[in-house]
Amino acid sequence: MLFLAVKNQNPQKLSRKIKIALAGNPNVGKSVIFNELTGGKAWVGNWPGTTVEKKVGKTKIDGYEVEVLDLPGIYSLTAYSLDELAARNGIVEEKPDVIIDIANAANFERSLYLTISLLEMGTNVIVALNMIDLAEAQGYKIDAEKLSKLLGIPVVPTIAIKGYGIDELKETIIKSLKIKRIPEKIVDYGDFVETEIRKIETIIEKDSKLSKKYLPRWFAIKLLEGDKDVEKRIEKSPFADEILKQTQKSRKMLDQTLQKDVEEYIAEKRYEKALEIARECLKTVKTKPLTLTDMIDFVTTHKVFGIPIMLTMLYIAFKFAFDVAAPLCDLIDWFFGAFLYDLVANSTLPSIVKSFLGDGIITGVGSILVFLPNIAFLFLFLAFLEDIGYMTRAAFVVDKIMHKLGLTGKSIIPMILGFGCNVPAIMATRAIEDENDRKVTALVNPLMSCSARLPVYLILAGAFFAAYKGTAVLSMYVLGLILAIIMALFFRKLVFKGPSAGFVMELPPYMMPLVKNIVIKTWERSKRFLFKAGTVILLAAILVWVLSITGPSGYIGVEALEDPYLLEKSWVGVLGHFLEQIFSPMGWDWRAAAALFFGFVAKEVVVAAMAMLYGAGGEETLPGILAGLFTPLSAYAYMAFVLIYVPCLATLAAIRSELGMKYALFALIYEIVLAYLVAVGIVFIGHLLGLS
Amino acid sequence: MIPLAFAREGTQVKIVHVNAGKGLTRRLTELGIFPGAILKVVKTLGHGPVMVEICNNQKAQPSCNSCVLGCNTSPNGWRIVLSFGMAMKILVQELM
Amino acid sequence: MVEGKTVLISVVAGLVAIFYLLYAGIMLYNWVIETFVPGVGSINYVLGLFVPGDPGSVIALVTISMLMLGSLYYKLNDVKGLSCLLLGSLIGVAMLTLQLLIVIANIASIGVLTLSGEILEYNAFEDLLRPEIVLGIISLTLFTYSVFKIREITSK
Repeated sequence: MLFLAVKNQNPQKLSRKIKIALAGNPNVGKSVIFNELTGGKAWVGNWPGTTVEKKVGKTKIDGYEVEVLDLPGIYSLTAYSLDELAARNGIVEEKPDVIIDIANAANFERSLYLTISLLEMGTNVIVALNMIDLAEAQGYKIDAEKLSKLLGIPVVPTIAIKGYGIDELKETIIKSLKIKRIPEKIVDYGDFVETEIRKIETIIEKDSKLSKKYLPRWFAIKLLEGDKDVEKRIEKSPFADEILKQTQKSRKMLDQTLQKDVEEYIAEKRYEKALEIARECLKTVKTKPLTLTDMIDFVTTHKVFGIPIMLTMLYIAFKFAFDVAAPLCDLIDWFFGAFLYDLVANSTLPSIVKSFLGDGIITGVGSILVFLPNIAFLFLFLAFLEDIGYMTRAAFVVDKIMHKLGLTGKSIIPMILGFGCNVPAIMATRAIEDENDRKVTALVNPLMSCSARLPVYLILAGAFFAAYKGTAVLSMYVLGLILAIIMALFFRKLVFKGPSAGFVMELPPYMMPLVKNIVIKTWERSKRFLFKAGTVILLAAILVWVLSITGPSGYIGVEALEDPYLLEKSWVGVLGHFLEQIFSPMGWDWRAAAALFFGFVAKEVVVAAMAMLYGAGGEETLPGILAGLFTPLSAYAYMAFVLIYVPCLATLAAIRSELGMKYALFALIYEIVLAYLVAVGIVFIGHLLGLS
Repeated sequence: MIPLAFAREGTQVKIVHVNAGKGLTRRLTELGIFPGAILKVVKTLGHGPVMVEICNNQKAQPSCNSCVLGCNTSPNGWRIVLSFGMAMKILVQELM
Repeated sequence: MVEGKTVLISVVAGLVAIFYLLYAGIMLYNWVIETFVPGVGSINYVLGLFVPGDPGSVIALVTISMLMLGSLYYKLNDVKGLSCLLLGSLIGVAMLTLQLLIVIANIASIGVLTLSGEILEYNAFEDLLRPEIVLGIISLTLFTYSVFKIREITSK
């Protein structure tokens, strides 16, 4: 028995509010269990002082109000990874009453390593042994009772996606509240190391504050391992010097005696313990049978078939996102553009209110929501591929080529997401371990033509390239891709230099995803587009509206929205004329220039701004008007400019929150410069070729 | 002794040394990759990432020519993919 | 008995592979013609099926074809060949499903556009008599075969 169970003397003293934390490796089904407990509703934020995501949900068990803390997926509790550190500090600061360690029966030894690490912290842990069905399919069974005895804590077998074992888990949570465990030694590190641990431990015990907050033995072990974070935490202790001195002495001594780095030794010993326990509880039922996963992987990671399959999945994703979602887009377009707009136009409200609602809000909101189906469908299919397990294989297969392009295999997901909306795409770059790779992927992401730019392409292509409309639009996407590759190479080789730290990726077996989980994931990502982008675009639409009906001479009146002559006198007009000078090589007039300005806030607004500026009644008449003011060449250059210039405000905000203000500004500047160069280049080459 | 990145597909290898900084070495150790561990190279695409299975405690197996299928060692856990960079830092000895 | 079945399936897979490749080629030609060489007519109707010029679809069809041929290369009585057949037919079925969804979406779009007073016609047949659909149905049978065969193998 590793723990002495002592019954809590005063159960009545337990408040009816408790806090539990979910810990476990990535891919063990932690989010499934989280969703089972909380219904999927969570408050999402960051662990204080970090960029690591913190998810908190609520549930009720047995009359208790339970706060469920989702810790990041981790393999251990070192100070080397932001995730692990956040989890560790989260446990120490939040002091959960119970920690549910979700172990993966199908990936047993690896899971046990974390379990042991958690026990070493002295926390109140119970184990949810998940995916026992998968383990059986892989040919073995785990003796949960034996495991429970060896670890000294309750072990609940579960199959989370089927809901099996969840009730028992809930019961066990409540039961373990009433039992206070006195931790004992889990891993015996051998006489030499144990003696030194004891020496450091004794000094730590002298500091009552420290020993109350952290388990002295755990603290001592971490000090021996050279854990930088732990070293920081002793600073305030009156015994700091003594502790550090003894630690140094012990480390030196052990490095010599062990003929090995103490840290490595300790980690290996811990791993061996995990293997030992695993071996005792694992029972092979049959020799590893051929699994479906093996068969599928043979093909998906095949030298020849791998990449074509990936490209096919991409094609299906886009076809699904655009063609199948189309009716929903049409519906939303009709609802806002026709139904609501007419409703307001035919009402008896004062004209300024009508205009504010109709031209400002309804048009503004409508222009965002029109894309929601496309984005949601794209994310849906992507979430499906992720949850089924395919995306890791795609990353593996594509990694080599991505490196030649300045990116990494894991960049593939953000790049695909970027075609829907750059905001969740940039957040997805968190999955990339290497700093430099992450920065490059995020900075280059805005060149992935998001759905906001599509209306600009469509209007211009429709007006100037009629028969070739599809090709013109496609060429924009291709241009974006080519530029992304060029910039990625440029950044990776010259600006963010350095060998890639690379990655370690687990390959979980293919599993039929739960519809609930896919939907939740899709919603989370689409939500970012909706709210972050939505609020900004709405404000932009209002801003455009305001700037159009006022000017240096004061209030002009809503008639300005209909009358281009009046419009020229407004702020928008002033702005446009100023910008016109800068854009003269491309031959864009002041209205097109002004529209670009508004596009800075959100690219969707460009078309609406153009419609308003050119006095088009609605967007249908716009192409006709544009035909007289642009040439095919200048129109193409305009499209390219819209593709490249400036990430929209929401994207900038995303870059800022992921990489910092410095990089957000850098993205802003490099893109605008690039956009200008490319646009001028297009016009220049066009003139050389004799086009006009 | 060669880097894992150059090990042939289908072979079983024993780790001799991990040439990395503290953080990386620690991370690999905790996944079961440290000197003395035995891995099977399941898939390698040449100058790229390597897919391995950790098969400690298993006797060396004769190499099979398509390792994704028909591996009858019971691996310790799911397969892992190591990037090229990491695979270069792990020095191994081919068994059999 | 078993060998006979395997031979039959191999033949079907082989034929399907050729047809997928054929239609992919025509699609590619159509796309190139329509995009870069206007004026030259595209081949839009081959062997009773409508063939648009969709470059993305070309990739998908070629992939399916490759996998089917792969299943012959690795021999269907080998796990490797079976895996190829499984994936190839799976993608074929996926394309079938996708195309059906698109037809449904198009019909729904017509419905929505009627709301705004437009009255349009939609010839669903053009979108249904497509290689993705017809070859996809054949893929479905190959897929069913693969699934049964695999169930046999993995439950041993």
